[in-house]
Amino acid sequence: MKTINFYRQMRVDGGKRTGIEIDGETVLGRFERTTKPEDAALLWFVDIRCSGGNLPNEAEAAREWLLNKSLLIQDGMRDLANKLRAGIDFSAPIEQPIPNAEKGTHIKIFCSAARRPEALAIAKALDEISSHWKEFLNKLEVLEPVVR
Amino acid sequence: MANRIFDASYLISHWRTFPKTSKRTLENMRLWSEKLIEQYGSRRIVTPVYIEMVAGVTSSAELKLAQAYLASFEIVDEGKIPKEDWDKAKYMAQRVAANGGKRQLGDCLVRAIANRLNCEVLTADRRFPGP
Repeated sequence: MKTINFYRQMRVDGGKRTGIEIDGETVLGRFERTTKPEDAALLWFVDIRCSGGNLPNEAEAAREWLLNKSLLIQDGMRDLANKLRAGIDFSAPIEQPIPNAEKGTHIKIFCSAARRPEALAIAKALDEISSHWKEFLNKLEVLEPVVR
Repeated sequence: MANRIFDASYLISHWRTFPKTSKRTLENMRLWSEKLIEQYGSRRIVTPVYIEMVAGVTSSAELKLAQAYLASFEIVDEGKIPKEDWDKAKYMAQRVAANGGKRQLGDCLVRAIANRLNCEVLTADRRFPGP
């Protein structure tokens, strides 16, 4: 089964990393730096994890596939943001399926924060990602594999 | 996976919350770490984290359980820590936070490696100052 994951995450220094992974490898990405002293500790993350037999293999096709699912995913994020503001349990990472994905495909939102007070920050982040979904996807750059 | 690296504080905290109603077998410890990996969308750690985890065990039986737990993770630095990481870790260690909190070797090194690999650190330790 193939997997595609869109993620956006924020660091303590305010830096934000956005990317798309195919089968666990980031193929498209973008990092928004800040002027604060660098600190790689993570404050929160949001993942849109997709799995299924008919998902694309290639970076641009994955971007296109996610763009085609925009309305479905944006609605799912707004719904979860509302639940967070209503005070759902945030003691562990949240996992919420997005219904009505195409047959044989599953889409889930995962999100987590380093500390409980960040729950509202996550709701804001979900709203931001939902509002700028296409823009975030279109700004991602093709990445070369990291040399270790 | 999603450029996230677990630090030792995260793994130790998760290790300690293994359900009291379950038996600590090798398979159950593996499944326990897989649950964390699923929740946080990453199986990445670095060598200092692996060492800190196994260094915390107090018996050979517990070591086997820790090894089973850690086997699910990928050590992304592959045991190769270049001089630039040590230099960056040294730089971080020399930064004194406003609250005067002390820095730990492991924390500095994990963040130095994470910076080099363009990763973020999943940490339960909020005291550590940025580099």
